[in-house]
Amino acid sequence: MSEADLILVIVVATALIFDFTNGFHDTANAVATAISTRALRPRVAVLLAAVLNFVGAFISLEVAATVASDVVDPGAITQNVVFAGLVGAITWNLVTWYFGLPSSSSHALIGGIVGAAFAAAGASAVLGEGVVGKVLIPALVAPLMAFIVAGLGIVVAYRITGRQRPGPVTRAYRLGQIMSASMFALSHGTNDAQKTMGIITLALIAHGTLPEQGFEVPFWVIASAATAIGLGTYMGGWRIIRTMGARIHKMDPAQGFTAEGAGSAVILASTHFGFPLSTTHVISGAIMGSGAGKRLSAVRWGVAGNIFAAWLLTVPMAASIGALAYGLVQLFGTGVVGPLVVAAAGTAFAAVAFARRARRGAPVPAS
Amino acid sequence: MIALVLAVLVDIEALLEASAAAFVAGIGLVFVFSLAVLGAARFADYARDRRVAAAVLSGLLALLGLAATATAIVLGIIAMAS
Repeated sequence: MSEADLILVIVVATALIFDFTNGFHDTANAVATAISTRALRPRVAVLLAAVLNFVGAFISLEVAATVASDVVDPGAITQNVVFAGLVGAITWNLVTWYFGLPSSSSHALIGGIVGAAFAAAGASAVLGEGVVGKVLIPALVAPLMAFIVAGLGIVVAYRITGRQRPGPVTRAYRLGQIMSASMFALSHGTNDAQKTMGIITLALIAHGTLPEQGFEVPFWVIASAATAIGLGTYMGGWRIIRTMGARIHKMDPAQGFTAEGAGSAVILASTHFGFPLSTTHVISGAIMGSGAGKRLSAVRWGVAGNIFAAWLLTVPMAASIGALAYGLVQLFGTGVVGPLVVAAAGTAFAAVAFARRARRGAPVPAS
Repeated sequence: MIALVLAVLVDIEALLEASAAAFVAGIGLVFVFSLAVLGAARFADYARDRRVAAAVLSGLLALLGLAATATAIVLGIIAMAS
C-alpha cells in the first residue's frame, strides 16, 4: 500500500466518523418532537430514525454531486485538504454537542472544507458562486420557509380541529407524529448522508481513483455513508434532543406533527434541487414557527437566540479550524505523518470532551 | 447592486420552485391530515351518540384524509428520488 493509499484510508475513515457524529448530533432533528410529546418512546424513536436515515441515504445523489463539485474546485483539492476540512467539521460538532447546541453539521462540513481549501490553494480553490448560491442563500431561506410553513400549518390545524374534544385529537396527532417523524428521518438521510458521500468522492478524485469530470459516486461509498449515519443516529444525542424537544417551547402533538411535516417538505423539496441545506436549521425554524403560530410568547426566544448564534458561528468557526488543521498537517510535510498526528490529537480532544461531559452527569433524559 | 449579484450567483428559479413546492407540500400535508383527525374525532362522538349517517360521513372524511396524506407522502418521495 502506497503512502497516498494510506492517506485515502485515513480520510475515508475520518469522513465516516464525521458521518457517525452527524447522525449522533442530528438524531434530535427527527425524533425530539415525537419524544417530547410522548408520541414515541425514546429508544423506539431513535431506532426508527436510524433505520430511516439509513434508507434515505440511498434515495438521491443530487446533494452529493453539489458537495463534490460546486463548493470547492475538485482540481485544487488534495487528500490533506479533505482531511483537514473533516477535522474542522468534527471539532465544531463536538464543541456544539458539548454545550448542547443544535448547530448544523452540514455547514460545519462545508465550512471546514472551504477553510482548508482556502488555506491550501487560496481563494481560487473556493467556488464562490456555489458556496453562495447553493449553500449560503438556501441556508437563509430554508429555516425561514420552515418557520412560515409551520406557523401557517399550525393555524390551519387548530382552525380545523380546535373545536373537537382534546383527547381524541391529541391521540390522532400523536399517531400522525410517528409518520411525520419517519418522513423527517428519511429526508434527513437523503440530505445529510449525501454530504459525506460528496466528501469521500472528493477524496477519491484527489487520490486519482475517480475522474474530475463525469464521476459517479461508487456504491460502497453510498452504503458505508448510510451505515455510519444510521449507527450514529442509533447512538443518539440526548443533550440536543432535550434542547430541541422541550427548551425552545413546550409542544403539543399538533405542533410536533406540523413542525416535522413542514420540515420534511422543505428538506425533500431542497434535496430534489440539490441544495445541501442544514436539517438542523430547518427543524429549528419549523419548531419556532409552530410555537409562534400559536402564540409568539410561547417561544423561548433566549434559547432561540443561542441557537441562532451557533448558526452564525458555524461556517466561520469550522472554516478557521479546518484552515488551522491544514496548517498543522502541512507542518509534517505532505505524507501520512501529518494526518496521523492530527487524527491522534483529535481523538484525544474527543476523549477529553466525552470524559468531562460524563463526569458532569449523563445527559440521558430517556424514560 | 446586491440584488443583481445575488441574481447572478443564485439559481433563483430553482430556489423559488423549491420554496413553492415546500409551501404547498407542507401546508397541504397538515391540511389533509387535520381533516383526517377531524373526521376521526367526530366519528367517535357520533358513533357514541348512535348518529349513524353522521358517523359514516365523518368516517369517510377520516379515510379520505388519511388516503390524501399517504398519497402526499408517496408523491414527495417520488419527486425527491426523480
